[in-house]
Amino acid sequence: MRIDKTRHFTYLALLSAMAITLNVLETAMIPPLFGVFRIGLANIIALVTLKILGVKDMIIVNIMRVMIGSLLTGRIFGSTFWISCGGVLISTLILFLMEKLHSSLMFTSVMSAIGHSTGQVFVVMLFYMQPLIATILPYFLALSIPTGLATGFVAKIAVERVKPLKKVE
Amino acid sequence: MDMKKKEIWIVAGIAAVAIIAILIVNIWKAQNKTTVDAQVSAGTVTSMPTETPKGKWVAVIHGKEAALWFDSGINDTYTVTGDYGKMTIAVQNGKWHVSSVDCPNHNCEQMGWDDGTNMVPITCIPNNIIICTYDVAQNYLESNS
Repeated sequence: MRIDKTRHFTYLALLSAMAITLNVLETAMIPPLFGVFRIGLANIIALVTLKILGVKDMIIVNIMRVMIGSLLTGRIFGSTFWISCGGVLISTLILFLMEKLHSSLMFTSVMSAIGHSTGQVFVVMLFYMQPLIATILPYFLALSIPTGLATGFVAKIAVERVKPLKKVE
Repeated sequence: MDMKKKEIWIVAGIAAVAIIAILIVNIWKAQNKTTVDAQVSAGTVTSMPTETPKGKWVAVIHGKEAALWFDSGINDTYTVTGDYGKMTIAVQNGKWHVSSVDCPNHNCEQMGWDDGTNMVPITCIPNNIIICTYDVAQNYLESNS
C-alpha cells in the first residue's frame, strides 16, 4: 500500500515536471503556427496522466503546468496566463467527460485540443472584449484536428509502454 | 485505443463544420470589404490614406482608431503609445515587426515579421493595439465605428 502511494506520487511529480518542461520549451523554442496557434505538446502528458493515474491527477498536472509554467516564463497573471487558463479549463472538462464516456485516446486528444482552442478564444472574446476574434475559431477548429491526432498518437505510444496505476474499470 | 467508427464520423463532422465556417467567414469578409470600399469612396469612413503606397498601407490601430498609417515599402521605425506603454515597429523590405514593446507578455514581439499574409495580424492585448493591412483595418474600423 505504502509502496503504491510512493510510486503514485513519484509518477505524479515526474509527469508534472514533464508537462511543465514541454510547456516552457514549446513557448520558448517552437514558434506558433500562423503566428498564434500552438501544437500543445503538454497535452500529451495530460493524456498520459489521465490513462495511467486518472482524472484527479490529470487535473493536478494541468494546474501545475499552467501555474508553474507561467511562473517560469514570467507571465503569471498576465493576459496569456488567463488565456491559457481558459484553454486548460475547457480541455480538462472535456478530458474528464471523454474518460467517463470511455472514448478512445485519439478521439479524446482531438476533442481536448478543440476544447483548448475554444476556451482560449472565448477568454479573449469575453474578457478582452474582442468579439471579432471569433472569426479565428473555425481556423483553430481545423488546425486542432491534426494537432490533436498527433499528440494523441504520441500519448498512445507512451501509454502502451507504461503500466497504469489507476484501477481499470 | 484506436478511434471507433462513430468517433471518426464526429471528427469528420467537426472538420466539415470548420471548413464551412471558414468559407462563411471569408464570404462575410469579402462582402464587408465591398461595403467598406463604397463607404470609403463616399467619404463615410475617414482617416484612411488615399495616396498610392510603395508597398502596402499598414495601420496601427489603438482601441477603435488608427493611431498611425505607414507604408510597408519604406524602411523605417515607428513608435506608438498604447494602453500599457510604448511600442516600436520596425519596417524592412516590405515586412514589419514589433522590435520592442512595454508590456509583460512580449507576445507581439514573438509573432515575428508580417507582410500582410499572416493569418492573424500582430496584436498586443495589454496595449490594445493591432497592426494590420489596409483591408483588415477597413473592416476593423468600420465594425467599430
